[in-house]
Amino acid sequence: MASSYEYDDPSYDSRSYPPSSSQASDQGYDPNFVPDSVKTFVVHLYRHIREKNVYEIHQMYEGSFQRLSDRMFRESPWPSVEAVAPYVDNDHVFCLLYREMWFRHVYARLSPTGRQRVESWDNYCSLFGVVLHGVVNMQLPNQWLWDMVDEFVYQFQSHCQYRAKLKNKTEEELQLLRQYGQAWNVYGVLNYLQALVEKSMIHQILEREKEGLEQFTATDGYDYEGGSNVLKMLGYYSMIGLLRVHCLLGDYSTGLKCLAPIDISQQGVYTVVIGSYISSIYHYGFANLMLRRYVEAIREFNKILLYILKYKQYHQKSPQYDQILKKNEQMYALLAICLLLCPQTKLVEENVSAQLKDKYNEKMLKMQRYDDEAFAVYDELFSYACPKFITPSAPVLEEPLTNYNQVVAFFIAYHVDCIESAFDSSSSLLGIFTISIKGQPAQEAPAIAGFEEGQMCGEAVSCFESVISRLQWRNLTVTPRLISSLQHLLFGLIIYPVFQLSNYGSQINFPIKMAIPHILLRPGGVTDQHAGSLQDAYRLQLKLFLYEVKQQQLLASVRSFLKLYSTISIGKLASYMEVDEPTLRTILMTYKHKMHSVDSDGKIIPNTDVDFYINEDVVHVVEPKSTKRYGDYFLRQILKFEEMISELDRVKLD
Amino acid sequence: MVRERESQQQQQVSYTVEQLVAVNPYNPDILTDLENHVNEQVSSQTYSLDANLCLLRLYQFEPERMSIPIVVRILIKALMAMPAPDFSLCLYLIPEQVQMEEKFKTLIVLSHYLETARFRQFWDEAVKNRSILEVVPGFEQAIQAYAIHVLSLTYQKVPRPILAEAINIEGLSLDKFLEYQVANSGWALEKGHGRSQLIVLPRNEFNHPELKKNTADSVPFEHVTRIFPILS
Repeated sequence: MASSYEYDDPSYDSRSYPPSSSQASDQGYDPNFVPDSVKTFVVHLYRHIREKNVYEIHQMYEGSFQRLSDRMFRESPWPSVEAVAPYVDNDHVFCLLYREMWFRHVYARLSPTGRQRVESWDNYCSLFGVVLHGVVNMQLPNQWLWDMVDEFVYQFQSHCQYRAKLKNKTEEELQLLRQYGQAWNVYGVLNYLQALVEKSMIHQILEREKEGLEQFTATDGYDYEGGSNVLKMLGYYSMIGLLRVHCLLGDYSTGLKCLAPIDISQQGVYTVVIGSYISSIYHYGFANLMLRRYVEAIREFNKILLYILKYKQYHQKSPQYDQILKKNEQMYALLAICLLLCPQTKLVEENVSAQLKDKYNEKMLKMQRYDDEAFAVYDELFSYACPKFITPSAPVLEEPLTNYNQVVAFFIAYHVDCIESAFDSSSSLLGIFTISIKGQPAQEAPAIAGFEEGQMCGEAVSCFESVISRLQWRNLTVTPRLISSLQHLLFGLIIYPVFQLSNYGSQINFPIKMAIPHILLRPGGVTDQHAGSLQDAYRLQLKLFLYEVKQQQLLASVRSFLKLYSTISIGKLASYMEVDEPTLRTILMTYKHKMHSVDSDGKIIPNTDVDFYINEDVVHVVEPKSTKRYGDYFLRQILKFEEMISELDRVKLD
Repeated sequence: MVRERESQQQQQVSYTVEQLVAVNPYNPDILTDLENHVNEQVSSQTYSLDANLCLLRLYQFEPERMSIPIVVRILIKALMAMPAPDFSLCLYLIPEQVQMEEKFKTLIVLSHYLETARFRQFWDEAVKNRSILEVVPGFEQAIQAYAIHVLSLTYQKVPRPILAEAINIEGLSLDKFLEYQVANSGWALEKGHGRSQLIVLPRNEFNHPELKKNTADSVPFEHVTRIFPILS
């Protein structure tokens, strides 16, 4: 969380600076001019790094750098590394570190150009290269090392978003993207993180620590024997970095595996820097939520929200304060979702629970009702709290749209009367659109000559309008086949600039809306196909999440009924819930299935507080036993008293 | 010379796919190995979630190399792994446009039926789509195992018709199946209301709450070791 600038991207033209001109014309920014304060700054920083004075380095890094940035470099970058190098003996590693801070500053306060993004990538490659070769002899503060990894992943995320927006790019920017395809390539990013983890041997270090053979957590990762903590700590933080990248890709299970060597249930090096603590728990909790391990997620969110509540006042002055608050809000939203899908009474602390009620009580009540509005609230909370998913593959930089147009349009025109007459033939349309979406070249489409493009577009649009109006007048039942035909029709229509889905806004009711690819619902226009790919990634995760919520729709009412009885026959319960017996049996089995998650070792973990079993025809509800935890209590008291006694022993009475 | 090179090649291939996934997962060159591994899983009735997720990730990075039949096989294998959420995990990695293909829609519908324990609809739909599912041997048995798992979570004693519907076995075959389970898995048969048969499922902590280990009260060993110095 090095940058307080949040890459929030509701519309594609929201940036206040045009991308390429922010540096050139700015108030006469001269990259070679080094103000005296900067001179002193780099000289001192360089000296402290050479002398391994970690405390001073930290002060300069957190304090002086921010102060100077605020005072002198609010809207321009720091002096270039070439200008600064002479004051630090042209030390190669220091220059890499300086450049890393330089780029981070640009990302945070300005907006980086395409070329700067590529240069930043090169800098990280060199920096990590040096570290991986094991020739680094410095001790750097953990905050800085965490910020490096965090920023690395953040710039990768930012690049994916940048690259997806092809609409407003100039030719030279596109050329740059084509030429430097390797920069911020997903393989490169993942492999660097993986290499850091492996070269630092952090897994073995943590293993040996468990057996008492190594000091790591006790020293907060610092090396008091004259060595360097850089590789170790970068490796450690890269595990969290990998978890984050995998969450952005939608691969939750592998992400959790990457984090597995760290024992989340205990304090550790990851809790030392608040940024790393929050980032690891946020992504850990989110991944568990998507894996249906609700209890685990609730437990961890509870812990960290309590921590933030207690300690956030100490971070008010830090540059990460905004980020901390934002993540705090997001985690409350996730906690709300978890508690709704899996109500628990004992896992959430009072203070956290009170805060949660404050923020989300209304919304939680709405979500409990499970009607259309409830889904909208689930959508809202999920969209607010989820990570900014990315599409890792590069968009195709040449536009093969013309061929695409012709094939699709031909087939629409050809089958438009089928849609008018019988909706069953929408299945043939389905097949056709499947072909068209694969982008077959126009030559393979039979008899395409003789159709004008405008004519085809018109036919397609009128077909769509006819479908929508018939739906409105309820001349049609909404079947899955219809929805999928509609989806395919729309995928074909998006190519035409004249077609604006927003024109039909009022006619499209919520269930249909859910089926329409989100790419089409943006108000600005529908021609930027590639930009839609970013929305695709988020859209897919949202859709699957809402699908899961839908499957759990009836479980809440089952739970409320079960709370009222100790035994009840299936017949009676069925009549209360207004479903027939077989349906009730399936609902009860669904409840059992959803409330028992499978953890990473394959064990079944019950997640629910209200449990039951069925004996032929009778449901027996299990009383939740509230147990006193004697063992734990005694252990804690024994240790506390022992401490007190040894302290008393130490008091010398004169 | 040729023989040496051949045996060298064999040595390289013998890096198991598991090792590849563990050591070097972000590597486009292992894509073909992973695809072969999927086919191996299908033919030898084994399963490896990590390797399959790795392959789906690589497809995500390079969509041109995606092979639909392989993805279909991965999804069927994931269905067979239920109750684990593997199917959802795989879906998270497959782009929406690809998921709109007919085969995927069928699989998603099947998964939906299984997740909501609608076994009758599941088996009906499975029969209609036998051609897709036949590719992977062992599918039926895996789903039957899942069905029994859900029944064991829910019932102490389940009526025969419910069981029959869940595992899609009837009549004499069901009798034989029950005999086998009674002999090997600790099931028992009883008479229920009317003349229906009741199957008593094995006792576990989910359908017999008294068996639930009271984890709240148990203390992990490491915590107890903390007081050893004091006690001594």
